[in-house]
Amino acid sequence: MLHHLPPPAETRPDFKLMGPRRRGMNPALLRRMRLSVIASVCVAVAACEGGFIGGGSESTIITDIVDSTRAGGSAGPMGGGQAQPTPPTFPPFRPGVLRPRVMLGTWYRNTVRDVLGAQAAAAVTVTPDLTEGGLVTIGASSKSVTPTDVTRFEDNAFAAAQAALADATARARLIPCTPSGVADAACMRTVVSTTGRRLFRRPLTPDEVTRWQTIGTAAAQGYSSFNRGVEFVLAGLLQSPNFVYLDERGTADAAKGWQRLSPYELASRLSFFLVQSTPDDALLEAAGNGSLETADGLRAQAQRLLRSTEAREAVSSLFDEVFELDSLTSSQKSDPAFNRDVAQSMRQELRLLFAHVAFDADQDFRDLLTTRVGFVDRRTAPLYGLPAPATGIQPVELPASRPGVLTRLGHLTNKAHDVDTSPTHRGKLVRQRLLCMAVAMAPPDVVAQVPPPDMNNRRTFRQRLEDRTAQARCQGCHSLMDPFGFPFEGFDSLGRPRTMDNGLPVDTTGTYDTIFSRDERYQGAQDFTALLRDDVRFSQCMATTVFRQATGRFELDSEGQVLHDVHEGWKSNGFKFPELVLAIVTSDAFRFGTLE
Amino acid sequence: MGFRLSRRFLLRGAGAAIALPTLEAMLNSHGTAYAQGMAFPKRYVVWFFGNGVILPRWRPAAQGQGTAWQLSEELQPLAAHKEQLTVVTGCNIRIPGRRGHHDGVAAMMSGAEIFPLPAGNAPYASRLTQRTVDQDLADVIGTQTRFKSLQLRVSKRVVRGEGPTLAFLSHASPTAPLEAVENPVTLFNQLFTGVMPSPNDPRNTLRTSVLDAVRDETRALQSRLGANDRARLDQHLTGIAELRQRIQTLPAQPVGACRVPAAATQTNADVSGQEQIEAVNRVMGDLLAMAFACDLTRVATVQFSGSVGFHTFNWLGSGPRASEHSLTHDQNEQGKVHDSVVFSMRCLSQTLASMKAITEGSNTVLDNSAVLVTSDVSEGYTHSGNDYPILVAGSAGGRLRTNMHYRATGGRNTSDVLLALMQAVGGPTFTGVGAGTGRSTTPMREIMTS
Repeated sequence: MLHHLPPPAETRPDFKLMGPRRRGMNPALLRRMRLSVIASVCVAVAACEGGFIGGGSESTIITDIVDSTRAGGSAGPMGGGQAQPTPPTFPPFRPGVLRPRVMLGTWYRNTVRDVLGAQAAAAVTVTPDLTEGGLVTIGASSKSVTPTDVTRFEDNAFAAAQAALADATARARLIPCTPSGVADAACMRTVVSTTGRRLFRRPLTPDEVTRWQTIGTAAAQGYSSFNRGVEFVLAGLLQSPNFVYLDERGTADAAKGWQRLSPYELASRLSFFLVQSTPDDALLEAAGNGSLETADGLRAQAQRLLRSTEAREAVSSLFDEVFELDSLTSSQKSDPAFNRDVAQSMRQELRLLFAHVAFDADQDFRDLLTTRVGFVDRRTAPLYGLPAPATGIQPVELPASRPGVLTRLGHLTNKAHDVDTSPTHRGKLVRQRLLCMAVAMAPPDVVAQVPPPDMNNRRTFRQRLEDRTAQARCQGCHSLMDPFGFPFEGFDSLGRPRTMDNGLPVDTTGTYDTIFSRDERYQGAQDFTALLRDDVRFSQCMATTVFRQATGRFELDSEGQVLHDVHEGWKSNGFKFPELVLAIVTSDAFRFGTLE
Repeated sequence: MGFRLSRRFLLRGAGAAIALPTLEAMLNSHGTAYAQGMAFPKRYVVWFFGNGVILPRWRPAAQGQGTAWQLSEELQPLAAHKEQLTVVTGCNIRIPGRRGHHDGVAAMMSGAEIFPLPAGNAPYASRLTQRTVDQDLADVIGTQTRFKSLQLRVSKRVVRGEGPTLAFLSHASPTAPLEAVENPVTLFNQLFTGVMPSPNDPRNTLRTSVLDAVRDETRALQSRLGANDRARLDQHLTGIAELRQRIQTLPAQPVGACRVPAAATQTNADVSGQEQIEAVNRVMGDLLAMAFACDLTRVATVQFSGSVGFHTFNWLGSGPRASEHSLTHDQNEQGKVHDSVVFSMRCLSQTLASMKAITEGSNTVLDNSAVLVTSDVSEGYTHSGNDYPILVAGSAGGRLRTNMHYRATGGRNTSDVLLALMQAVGGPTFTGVGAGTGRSTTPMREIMTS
């Protein structure tokens, strides 16, 4: 997928790179000029030959680049130290627009599981969600419910209701009263309000209770069966827009001038963000008794949810998306050591690793890039050169040459060609997903194919790639990606260690990020991942990604101060993942919004 | 008044559960229409395959009609259907070139440019700026059928990370892409297992009551939203209305050529990690042809293989091979790309055969359809939008010329073909298609009979 044109500047969406922006005078004038020149070269060719995809004008892009780099210079030990930090200034705070999000497939299935039971969850089918900006949670904010969805919702609703009512345990929970007869309206009202509260994630209004009870009673009478009546109630609630949309309207907050999310809306926002399901009883209770109205109350509930197994699963799913692992389990390779089962094991390792770094041993989340913890099973152990564990997938300590997620099999395999590695794809993921900076596609007339080995002129893949991309027009983008991939040339296309490529020694050295004046030399993956771990752009990007996941939208310029504070708060708490979550959910950007 | 209404009228008269007389008795003496003067329905189908062709091996050498032209190498699998086929070459995509693959889908489905989505971490994503042609047609010819339109998919491995443009073919609006059915069992159940409730079963009445309550709650929610989100909920309300209508119409009846086929068992599950594309395609084609014969729908899109896509056609060579998309970008693998195009045409041929196997008077279901066959690029290697690969199968009930290779000159707008098909199937109410530089008000008369 290497031949896409960037959109012309006038149609570019308003995407902003990380970092405080549009400050006044920059004291590091010389450095800035140098950067501007480099950036201008890239941007000037960007219109036709790729480069950054940035904000509305070229100058904005350059400003962003300089500022975000300088943020690195001021905050990180690797910044070179020549720039005097200036305190960042931000536009006045204004929270983002509240838009209804359509229930994601995972949310839907988990909610059915939690409210109607496992049998019901097994009876529903969900289709893959749309991603926008790399996240399905953002896609949910612009998606419409289509006629196809309406049909699927109805099919699912009846299938789930019937499966739940066929199960004695689930049935007893869903019908908490004993009907006096098929037409027992009071008991039907109880059914509606009990289950409705979990599905609508708030108490139902009396009108709503009457609406669904009437249908339930009509069905019960039509079939001479109270349970059949309940089937229609459940199937109706599951099709209701009050269930299908995560609708956040808030109430006008005169003092602030924005909408303040209601406690029940906050409960939903928190729950789908952290555990990918509807709020549990304790959370709804907290919403009902007013304790979610304070930052402390929100924090307490968030802390409780963060301790659950479901929170680990949510983090695994988020970073599964960040690392684009869908393509790992759908890819094919000619190497017989690779197949679908091996791919699943590789993916499982990464999912476990994300949750481990986020939640276990109170660690710095940036250790994701440097940790030696791995998870191997009998399929992946041989590729790591380890003995296979007796059962299942087990934690191991990998050699020091395997620092962090970027050296795990799954990632190295996912971002490689069939036989050859791909410094470009490995580097692009770092640039785009871990530093939150976009790289444009190659122009259409470029053959983005590294020539095959020539027996008369032996070259490594890296050398052939460098030969191929030596022209300035290629370097505009490849200099943004390839240096982030070269450190991993010591791992082949299935992530196995190697010292030779095409009969020549591999070269894992390079310069960290020259185009942003980060001229530190690295020798291999250990050096590189240490630099990346401490690059403030990395931790900022992680904070931004989690913020987008929490709110289902892109951050605004007017939320720059909040994001800055979230990052600083996270940093002062040792970059522990739960602290990032708590900083986000207690921020005004999470608790307030505006209306369209 | 359409075919559907008349059949429903008959069914009502006959009583729901009673076997029905066939309609052959009601055909006119030419076998082209019903005695009352109503013609057989016309259908519009898009059959889409990803990643383009190898142009020199795709273009027929000579142009003309009948024996004047012969099938090219890549079109050989369609030999049995040459008389029902028109090949159009020499047309260009005229919308602004923004993103390879995305542009081609947008041009051939809507005639309008893409909208680049906010980059975030997926800087190539896009959506459409206009609804797709099949949905415009469905508004006109799909209002009386049980399904306004059908969306089918054969290869499941479509790209979903680059926005709706690559993942879907049909878009009811730019933010309402229509998910496709990829499991033939699901499709069979939707089409043919609608149980006719006994007059005493309140099920459908109750389903309708539920939908009415859902509609009321959706309207209440909609009234509280801003303009953009109100438009999103319009789609939802449309879906509710369509489902409600479907509940109230009858399931497929064995009338005319319509027969409830044997239950599908193919689920489109991988076998040993491999897609069963040929087998799935065959069942999908059979079900689609019968859906037309039963007049369950008149509009369908078939995403045979995705734009870009992760699909691999491993069985075409010895041992595993790279994804079709990767192959297109490898100058040494263009022979394999050619094999893939031939394979795709073989699968298309199967679907056309299914449509041709069902007769409607003196015609076939295929004759009464216009099947647009196209891709997301001309050639995957260059991402070019010039000399676009376009086939049309079927004559839309005699309104389109067939057995022809027409080579347009001057880089003619691909939207001219779209407009010709829209008019052939939907009539003169369609006076234009697309937007901006992609817009056409000049249907390609050269492929039309009048």
